Parts: sequence; structure tokens; C-alpha cells
Amino acid sequence: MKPFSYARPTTAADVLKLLSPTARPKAGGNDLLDLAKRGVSTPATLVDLSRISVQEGGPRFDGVTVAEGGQLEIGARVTLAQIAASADVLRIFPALADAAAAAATPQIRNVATLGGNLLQRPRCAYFRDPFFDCLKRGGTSCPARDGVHDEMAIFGNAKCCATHPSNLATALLAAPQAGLATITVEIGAKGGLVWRTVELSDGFFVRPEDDPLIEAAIAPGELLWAAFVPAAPVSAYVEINQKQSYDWASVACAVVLDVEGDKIADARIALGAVAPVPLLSEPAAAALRGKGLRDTAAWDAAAAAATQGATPLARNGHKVRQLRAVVRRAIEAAVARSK
Amino acid sequence: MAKTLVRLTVNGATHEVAVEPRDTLAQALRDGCGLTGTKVGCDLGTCGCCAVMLDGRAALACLTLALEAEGRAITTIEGLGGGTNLHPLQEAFATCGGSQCGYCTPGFIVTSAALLDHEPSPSRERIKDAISGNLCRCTGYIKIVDAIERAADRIRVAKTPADAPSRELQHN
Repeated sequence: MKPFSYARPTTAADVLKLLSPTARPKAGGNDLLDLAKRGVSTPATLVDLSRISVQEGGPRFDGVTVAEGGQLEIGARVTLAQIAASADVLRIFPALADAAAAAATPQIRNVATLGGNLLQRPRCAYFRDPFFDCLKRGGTSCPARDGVHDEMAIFGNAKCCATHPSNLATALLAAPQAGLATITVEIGAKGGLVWRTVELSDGFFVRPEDDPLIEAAIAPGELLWAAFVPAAPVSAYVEINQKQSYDWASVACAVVLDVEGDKIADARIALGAVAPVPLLSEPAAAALRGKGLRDTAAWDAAAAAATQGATPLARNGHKVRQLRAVVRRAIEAAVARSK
Repeated sequence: MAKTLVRLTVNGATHEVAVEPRDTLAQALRDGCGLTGTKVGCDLGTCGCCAVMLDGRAALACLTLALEAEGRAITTIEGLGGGTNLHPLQEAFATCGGSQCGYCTPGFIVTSAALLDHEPSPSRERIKDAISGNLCRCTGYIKIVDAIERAADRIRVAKTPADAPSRELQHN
């Protein structure tokens, strides 16, 4: 790793005053240190988030809380192990617990946080090796297109074909009106904290066509603070991997069902690891609406519809078939959680 | 970058080590504290060789900075079994053939010690899940899982008199 300095502020305001394009926040630091060791990222300063004390007057940075109305509020500093084991998450939005449990390894889940999982950089091997040119590192070409792209995007891959790496992003996108809270510090003498909330489905994830250098619309001086998730108890997240452990998903799917009697009144289906951003599949959701909860022909139709419009590359056509399989499995897993 | 002194609490003892901000806990333990039981395999979090306990939970020393470990209770392989006796896990790994070249073994043992501290009677599936972040290229894992099961049994037996006094002990 290139040398960097290390700051350990104790309040959110002090963290925010330090953050800049070269001074990056560090929570679990798993992805940050990986990028630094590979020479992809060379921060001048790391700003340790572990010493920030509780912030008055806003959402919480730690812990899982159930707000009035049954909405989940999860601090950005909550670990994946805590999310996977949280009785509240399992009851209110089990898809998120599934996604957290499927990530990385037990040792990493003990340290990795919700915020870090959402903001981790793509796993594209060309992006993570400075020897290669890469649009995501400000280069002019994408060697993955004519290279080894077996695990890369099958949607939205005309410019960059790196997939979005976050399990939790896929799960959260499936929850209707799931949102994130961020804070920045006001420029000027007063330096007050400025809160912003953003819906995940409303421009938080950045497509490479809009800006290849970033995956999330969060400013260098802004800190991800918490996630809000409305109750979606009939939900599940399933992924298919090449390896059984420590592997990012080949394909992933999160399903949220709104069940009335024995009918699916509404559905949201999010697809992960198939595009540079997590995707909501309206064709797949439409195939389930109004159908019987256990109408397996509708499940198959939804799974097939999820692959509509796929543009696989020369070596990753198998991901279209894997996607179909994972959507079918995720619907079945969600239905199993209905009463 | 200038070095700063960091105070690390390792296996109950305090070590003062001069580190750069970029030094990992694995480097500080091996080069600063002289505790070379913690191995570095991939140095990127994929192999689990460098697993230590941070406040009782398994974590990777290669993805932890030495500075951020200040104030945490760090347990390494040297801290198990009191440093002179074999911990039941170490005894079971030797007995069951759970270790061949041995490079991954400290990571496996520290990770499974953290598991048994929190879950004294894990199922075989639960053991496999707990060690899913540790890679071994020699054993094929079956003997490792056997060893962890054997150690769990021995630890439970050793604790039984204290945890659940027999009728005779209660009379005394």
C-alpha cells in the first residue's frame, strides 16, 4: 500500500470536514484496503469512522431499529453479521438478511458494514488491476469486452460491463420506497450538518453512460448514514455463485410480494450482478401481478420475462440461463415466507 | 510516513509497537509483537490464514489496520491453551489429522475457537459455515470438521461439572 495518514475524529461533523476526493471514510475497510493493496486506490488520508459517537437529532449510525409504522432503520455502521442475525430484519424484511448472510465470509461479515457493502467498487478483474486500461479508472477503453467477461454484465453493458457487486443493494432495491440517509457539512462558518434522503430507485446508482468513474451518487464530502426499509415480510434474496463461499454472485435476485388472500397483488423483482447497477424488472413483476400465489406457471413466466432485453457478450450467455433460474428460486423462496 | 506507537492488547498482554498507518494488524503482530503464529496467505481477505479474534469475534488481520486494533482485545493462536498447553482444538487437529502443511491451521483454529466460544454445540453444517472463509489446500476439510466436532465434545465434557453440578456435588 502507498503510505497514507490516518485520522480518528470522534464526531460526524469532524469526519465530514475531513472528507475529500483524497480523504476517504473507512468503516470495515475490506474493499478499501483491497483497492489500496492493488494500487487501484491511493488515498492520502483514511478517516476512521469507528470512533464517531452517537449523533443527536438524526437517524442512528448504529443498530437496527423499528420505527413507528414498522419501518426498519439500519445504521450504515451495522455489520453484515448483525443484519443477518437480526430478528427484526428477519421478521420485517428477510430478503436483506438473506443478502447479508450470502456475502463474503464469516470473518468479513463480522467487520463489513451496510454502508461499505453498498459503496464497494466493482469486482471486474480489469478494473482491479492497474496494468490494464479501464474506463472506471479514467482510461479510454474496456479490455473486458474482448477479454475474460464470463461473469460480467448481460444488461446495460454497451460501455462498461462490470457488474454492481452489492448484494444488499439488490435486496434494498426490491423494497418499495427503500431509502438512504446521507449527511454533509454545510460550507461556511456555521458548519451545520445537512441531511439528505434519497430513494434507492431514484438515481442513487449511477450508470457508466452517465459517469463511469462512480457507481453511487454520493459526493466526496458526503457520508452514507442509514437505510430505511418499509416492511416487506414476504421477500427473499437468492444468488447463484461459482464457488460456495467467498464469491460475489454470478446472478442474484430479490423478490418482494404483496399478498392478498392467495393472490399476488403486487410484486417487485430486483436483479443483481447482471448489470452495472442493480435493476428492477418490470416485465418479471408484471408476470406475477394478479396471479395465484402458488401458480408455478406464473413463476416460470416471470423468470423468463426477467431475461427480456438481455444483451450477453461473447462468453457470458450462460448468465441469461442462470438469471432465469435464480429468479424462479427467489420467487419460490419468497412465497415460502407467506403465511 | 512517520511511525506512531500503538498499544495492542494481544492475548491479555500489552505490546507497544511502532507502526505506519498503512501497516496491517497481521504485520504488527508478526513483525512488531514477534507473534508469528498468525500467517499471511493471500493478504486480500480471501484465504482466512490470518484470522484472529477481535473482541471475541473472528476477523482478518490482513484487512485490519494496526491502528484500528488499538483498544480491542486481540486473541491469536498463541493465546489459546495458555501458551504452554494444547487447546482442545489444537489437540483435536493433531489427533484427527486436521493439519498437513499447517499454514492455514492457525486461522482455522482461531476461527473455530471463536465459534465454540459462542456456540458450544454447533452442528456439522454450522461448523462448515463458520469455516467457509478459511481455505485449506491439503486436507479436503473433512478431517478439519471432524477435529472441530471432537474439540467441541471435549470442551463440553470438561465444562459439565461446573455448569451442571451433579446431585452428589450439590450435597457437598
